[in-house]
Amino acid sequence: MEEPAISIADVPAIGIHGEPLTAEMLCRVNAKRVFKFAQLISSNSGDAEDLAQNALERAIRGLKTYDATKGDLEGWLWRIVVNVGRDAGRIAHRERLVFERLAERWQVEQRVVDIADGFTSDELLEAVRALSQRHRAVIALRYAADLDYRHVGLALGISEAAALMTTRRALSNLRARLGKE
Amino acid sequence: MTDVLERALYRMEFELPVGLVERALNVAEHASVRRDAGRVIRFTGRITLLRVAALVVGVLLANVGAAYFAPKYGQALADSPIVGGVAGPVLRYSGLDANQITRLDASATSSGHTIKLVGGYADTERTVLLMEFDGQAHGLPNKQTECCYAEGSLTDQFGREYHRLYSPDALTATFEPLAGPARELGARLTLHISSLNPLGRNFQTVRGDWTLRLTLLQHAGVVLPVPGPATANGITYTLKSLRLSGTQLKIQFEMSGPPVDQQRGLPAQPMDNRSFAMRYVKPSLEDAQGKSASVPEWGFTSPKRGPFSGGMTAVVPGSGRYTLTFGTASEGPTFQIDVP
Repeated sequence: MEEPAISIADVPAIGIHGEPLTAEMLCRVNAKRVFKFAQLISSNSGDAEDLAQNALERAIRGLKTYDATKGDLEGWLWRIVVNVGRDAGRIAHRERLVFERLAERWQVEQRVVDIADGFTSDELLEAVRALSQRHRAVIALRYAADLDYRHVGLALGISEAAALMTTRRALSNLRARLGKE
Repeated sequence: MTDVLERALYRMEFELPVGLVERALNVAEHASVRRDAGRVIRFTGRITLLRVAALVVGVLLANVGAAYFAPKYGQALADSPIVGGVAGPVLRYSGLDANQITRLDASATSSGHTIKLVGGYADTERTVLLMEFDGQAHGLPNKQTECCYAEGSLTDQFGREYHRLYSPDALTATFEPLAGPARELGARLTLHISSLNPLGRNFQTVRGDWTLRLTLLQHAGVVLPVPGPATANGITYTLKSLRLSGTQLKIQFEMSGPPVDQQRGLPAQPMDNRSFAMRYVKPSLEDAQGKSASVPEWGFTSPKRGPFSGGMTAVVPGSGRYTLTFGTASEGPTFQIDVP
């Protein structure tokens, strides 16, 4: 069944008129993005389904404690989703991210390799899943969760600049992988 | 600028699994036992709660029944080694051997709540910590349990962090097995808990800073010999590994053959007696007397190519020969497994 293609910004009740966000609305609006995110960071669809269900479940449980004065819903939701991914071992923990970020700065800046639009979605998914946990996480947050770099950084506990740099690096690796296939 | 690759990433679409939202809502609404976010194999999420409830009732009834009909067993139960306030049935529920548990006595208080570490166990399969919250003895999970699922991190003296793994008992924190130098030298571990999350409706999440230190030595896990493959109903079942941790037996298996290929790519089916999962996969494990071992989780994944891969966890009551069977269809394959 096709879910409505709306984003959280399309739900005017949230944080504007003070109406409570229901658990069902939270799920309906975000399930597709959460599932796409889960698909990109999991090694198979079964794990992705479990991860998405876990993430939605935890978000529902935490909904009553969400405080709009302490941050936007988008950031709150994706921190939960990322934490579920971390718990499931699909996303590197913050300490490791910091270390890897430092390591990344030592590397030579990427060379952009152009690729033709000649890959299938399956090949693309396979290539994403072959990336490191850190690169999968930024790709999933940027292109599945559709977050800007500030929110990608907030979700992973790194700066906006680091999120941008890591995403560029991840795309470069992805291009290289697709180019080889 | 958005290039071809970025556009492709944005365009990727995945069909939302049927019932995903409903399941999430349902589990959040009714779950009395929180599922951990560790590796839960497909299907387990949907059946774990029922299994947990059935297992709790089963374990209690079995203990009461066995103690009544076998006074010696009752005496053994009463005398079973107690770790802190944790009784034998709780340990058996988590597949732990009481004789191998390290007694711990560390506690920390923050935000008005006290967490006490009462026991720990480590082998090459997992690291398990038994906790008490606010002086409440760690009992079997039940609907009255309000507190708590503790969220936090476990690190060793070398700074290695261990990820949380799935555990059917939310009060039992299970982490990855010890690794690196701590595995050989012994681990001085720091458990840092940042929040206590509710298991029931009447407890609100509490954030705080609980730091507990403990020392654990790793026991050797047991890797059992794997019997050869068996074919039944057109499916070849291959056991890939048999690993024993305490009394918890983890089995990895693969399935291949025409019925598997026909199933590949089909949308998820409801779990009824006609489903592929129940007819050809649902594993059961029985001892020589025909007594079933509990199987708190099982499931499989269906990749686009190659055999289906599956896993199951069983809690075996003791050593002996066990018979593993797959599926409820007639003439399912059987494997003989000797547990030391």
